Amino acid sequence: MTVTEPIVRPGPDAPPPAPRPPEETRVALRRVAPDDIGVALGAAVAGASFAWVLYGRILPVSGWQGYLITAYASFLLLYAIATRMRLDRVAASDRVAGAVISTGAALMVGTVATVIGYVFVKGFGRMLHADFFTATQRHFSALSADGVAVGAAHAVVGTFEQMGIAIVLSVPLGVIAAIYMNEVGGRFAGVVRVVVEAMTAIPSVVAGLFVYAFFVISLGQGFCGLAAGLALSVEMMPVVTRATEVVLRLVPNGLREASLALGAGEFRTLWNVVLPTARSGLVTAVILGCARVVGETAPVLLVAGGSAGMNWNPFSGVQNSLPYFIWVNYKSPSDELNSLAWGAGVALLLIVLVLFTLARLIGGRAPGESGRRKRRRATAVAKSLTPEPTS
Amino acid sequence: MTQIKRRPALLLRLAIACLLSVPLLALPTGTASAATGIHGSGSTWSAPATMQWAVDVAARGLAIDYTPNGSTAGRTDFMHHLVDFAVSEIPFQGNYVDRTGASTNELAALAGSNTRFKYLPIVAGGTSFMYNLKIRGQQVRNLQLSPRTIAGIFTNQIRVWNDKAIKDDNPALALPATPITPVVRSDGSGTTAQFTAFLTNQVNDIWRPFFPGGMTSEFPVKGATKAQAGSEGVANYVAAGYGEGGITYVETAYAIQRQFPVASVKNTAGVYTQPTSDAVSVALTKARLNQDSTQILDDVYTNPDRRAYPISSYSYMIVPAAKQFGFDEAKGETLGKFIKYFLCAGQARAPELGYSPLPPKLVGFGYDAIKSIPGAPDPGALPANLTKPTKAEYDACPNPTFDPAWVPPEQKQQQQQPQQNAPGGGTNNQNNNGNGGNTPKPGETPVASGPATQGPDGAGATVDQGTGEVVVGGDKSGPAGPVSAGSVEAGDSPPLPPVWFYALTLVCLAAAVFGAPFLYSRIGRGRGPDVR
Amino acid sequence: MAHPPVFAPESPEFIDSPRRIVVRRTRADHAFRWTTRGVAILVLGLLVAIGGYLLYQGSSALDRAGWGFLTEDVWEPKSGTFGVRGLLTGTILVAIVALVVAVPIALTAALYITEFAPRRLRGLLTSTVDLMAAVPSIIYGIFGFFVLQPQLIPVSRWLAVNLDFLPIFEIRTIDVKARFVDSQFSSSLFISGVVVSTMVIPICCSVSREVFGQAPPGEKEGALALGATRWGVIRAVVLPFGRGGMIGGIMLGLGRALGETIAVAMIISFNTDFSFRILDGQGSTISSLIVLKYGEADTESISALMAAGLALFVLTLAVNTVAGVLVARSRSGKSTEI
Repeated sequence: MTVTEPIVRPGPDAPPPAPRPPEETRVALRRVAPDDIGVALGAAVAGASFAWVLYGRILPVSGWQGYLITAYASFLLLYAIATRMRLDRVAASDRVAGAVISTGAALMVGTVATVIGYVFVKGFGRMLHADFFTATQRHFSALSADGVAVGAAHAVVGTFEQMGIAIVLSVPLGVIAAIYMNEVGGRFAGVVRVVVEAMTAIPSVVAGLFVYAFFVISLGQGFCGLAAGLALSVEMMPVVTRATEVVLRLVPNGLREASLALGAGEFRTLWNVVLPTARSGLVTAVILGCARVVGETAPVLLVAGGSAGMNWNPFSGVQNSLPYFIWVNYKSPSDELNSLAWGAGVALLLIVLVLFTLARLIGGRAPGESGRRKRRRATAVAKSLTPEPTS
Repeated sequence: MTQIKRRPALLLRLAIACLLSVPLLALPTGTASAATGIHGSGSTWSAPATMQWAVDVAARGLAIDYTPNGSTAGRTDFMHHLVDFAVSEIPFQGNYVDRTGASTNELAALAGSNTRFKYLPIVAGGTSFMYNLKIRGQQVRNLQLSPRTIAGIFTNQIRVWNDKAIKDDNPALALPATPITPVVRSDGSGTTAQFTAFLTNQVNDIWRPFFPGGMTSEFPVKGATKAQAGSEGVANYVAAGYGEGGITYVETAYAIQRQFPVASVKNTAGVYTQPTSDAVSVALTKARLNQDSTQILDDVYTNPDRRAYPISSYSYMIVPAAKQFGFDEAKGETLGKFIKYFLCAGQARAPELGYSPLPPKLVGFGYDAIKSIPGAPDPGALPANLTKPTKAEYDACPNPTFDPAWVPPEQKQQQQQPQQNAPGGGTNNQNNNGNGGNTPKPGETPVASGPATQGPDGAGATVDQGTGEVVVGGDKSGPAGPVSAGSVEAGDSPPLPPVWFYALTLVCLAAAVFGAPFLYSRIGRGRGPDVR
Repeated sequence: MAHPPVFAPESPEFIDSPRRIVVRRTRADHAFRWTTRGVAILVLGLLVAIGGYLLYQGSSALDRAGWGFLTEDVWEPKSGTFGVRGLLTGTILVAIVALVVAVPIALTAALYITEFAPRRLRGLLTSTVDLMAAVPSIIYGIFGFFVLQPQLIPVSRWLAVNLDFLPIFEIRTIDVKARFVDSQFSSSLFISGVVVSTMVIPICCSVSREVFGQAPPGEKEGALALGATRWGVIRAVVLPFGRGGMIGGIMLGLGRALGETIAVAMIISFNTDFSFRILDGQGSTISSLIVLKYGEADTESISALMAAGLALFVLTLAVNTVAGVLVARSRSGKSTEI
């Protein structure tokens, strides 16, 4: 900080200092003053009414979208004017900016809530129906009688199998590659890192196209669940590698050095210090990778083929999956299939939500921080190790 | 060649299988299905029928998966040996014409990989024109179009619904000035091929200047035309809330499923006909067939019968004719049983879906194809006399056209005499009962409810489903109809509120802007954090 | 101790030289090093093989198309006429629309979370953003198809009627002043872009939130002490500090928008013509091309699709790389050390 202005010292003829400074109040940054709320509410009502006057008469707008935008603009204007009159220009710009920023947050939350709420309202009831997890599409068609059982069991099975294949293929490889980059290092690790970074940019549909052209057609393997799993793992491996590397980097170097200084080898250090420290982060990385691929539609669409019935074997024959199921059935003229597509959407969302909550629960702790039970055990161990004071 | 290619793949597969075998052991073994499952892909035109049959045979333990991804994609999948069968309206093309008008040879690729295949017809149907048009809020259900008008619409020459050409076809309708949105297929499609073949043949002078290539599977998208993927895509687009003014070409089944009307098309006799099961059958009596059962439709377009629907055609299945590329006897057995089912009993479901059953002669082609599929069970003998099958032969193959009581539609008495005033009357389907058009589900024994048993009056459920509302709607939406003008159209601008409303608003406004700060500065003085 | 003592304090001629560090690895360590190195080589090999396969397949198509690949509009690889001009334009336009809609929402939401939200709400909102990022794109797709599209048609129409002096909002195919033109405004690049924006918001928001959260508290408090308002703090401290990361977050969102497939494929009326008019009710993106055309692609068409995929990959890679550099630069160093 460079202060260039000369400091004015109070001279002998300076006015006497103010008797008492005004009482200081604590600035609460994250709270809104009640009179601000009042002004905002007033401006909102006024803006809505003002827009009603303007709307459709003077301005060339129509529809509720037009009304909302006009109302919001007039709200901002009136809020600015009101605050300007009450306080000053700086405060007015602050309040308006605050209003705009809060609106942005509200819009975002509103979008999430609308998307999830809409899907749940449309599909939750259908998903709860027992058929959903027990029946397949094999016996249902446009002319089927009402009682025919139809569900998405085949899609649920396919989703989990394909995700399983993707996890089995990509997680060990990804995690070990990340360990190599972070724990072993060297110039070659930089090359791996650059390529992995580059591969995260691969669009999912291109990964699907690769598997379609190479595995499905050139190798003559045909559509199958394995192909979908491969496509997903192409998508998942860079994600897991990168996330794992970030997690490993968060493990304090001091821990590694302490372990090495105590004479442990590299592998011992990794196995007994680094990985346990980073465990929650690792699990989170894997879970988030799963959440990312579970809803991938494009690669599955290209290579899974899409069966109407149950196919437990991912290695041969066409297989379905929840995203594929939605993609095929959302446009169906049959109400039953349509509502099933929404039900599949709910199922997919639930899987994502469960994975997400798991990731939050496990990954909520910082690296090194451990659960209550473990902490208690650790203190017990520490106590036993402390030499007894001898008197 | 392929054998060499396969080995690393097998190794790879084995390695991955070993990796994965542990968690998979816990999974229950596959569902008890007697036969090997097969997978096909292709036409969306005939997909409602194919998928219905697949569901029907599922009860007998046959697992058939069908992916409707368009005829071109189906043929390509078959060329790549990705599917066990494909469905397509047109055969493999010696010169496949794409959007640019250039052509490629599909047959060469098949010959290159030494793929043996056979065609068999699976079902007949009409390519119909599904539209979404409203006159003063009322759905129009009796639109009539001549081939020239259709060509004009899809070549973007006719752009509004009250164009003179459409008015001439529909003197009874007060057509609105709604812009026309032609909706076409974005993917390579047999429906497009059938439609453009018709245009090339019938209205060459309009079609060729628009697209010099003639028949194409890929509709050239120009102007206001919308392109959507698959029959579901185009039909959904027209049926959607924003699809007003849209018209598309699609198999009748899709319009029936969405309970939307299809246009009556003018045939050579000058009569506007609906694509009913009978109209299609009548038209297809003039179809000429090649040695490999593929169709030549030139005479169908110009069938002089007054009941014929001109854009009628067959859809074909392409099946392997040898053990090749992973297609073995077990799959052949499933495929053979499936084909036998849909050539016989399955055809009885055709009319209710929006198709027309295959006559005995075409079933014969199907039997020939079954015989060449490795591992397929023998389909049995065809009726000795194709024109007069016996009861026993009908029991062996319950195709409705094999029923001794079956009256071919072309032999039904010409009962539709009132058609001479069809252009003026606004309708040409006198033989429907107009009962509202909600899909009446015939019982679980499809044969019993086949059109044959309904005698000469049974033009089929199709009419009821697809066009039953034509009459109902037509009476209402005609110019003489009782629709009161301006009753629905609220317009964009709401009525002007009275003066006191403005005054009140201004007062509220003033109170809100000036009152609230005043009030709060009174109430909240000294309290609350001062946020500045 | 196996090591010889490196210095002897009692020695008079003591030279202060660095200790020679000898690393003795156990057998387990060697196995560990070689295993991880082997796996890393395997991963590298796999990824390079994928990239190489794409490049190899794509290059044969690029050879056939030549420079026409960048200047051609139509996509008919079977006859050798294909190019990505229209496709690339569409891809970029969708991404731009998505960004224009998403960035204001994402940035304001990020600012709200870091600067305005009460502490309890902050964690909840952060979770909401992460959850929004985890929602599968097909869910956004069906939501956009059934809910957003009907609502956006009047907006498109308003833009077309009132802002048609801007070439981007111009409509060529029809007369917009006519009645009932709803269908002409559906399935446009604009609507696809708005739907994609719902997927861009969380990415952009979470990166910006992270960067804004790292604004130095000392400077913020200093600004407050000098009498700045909250907005003053944001303008003077938070935004300048987070600018790099903000732009990086926007670019990451751009990367996502460029590659988005299913939502676009659900909505767009597919037409590869070169056009800047986003309201015109048709268009195409590279990813929607792949998903709509792979099925009917013969060997040559697949290599052409690979070339298009490669173009998309290169574009996304460039955007992501720039974003990565910007975000990395804006972060204050590595993690703390003990």
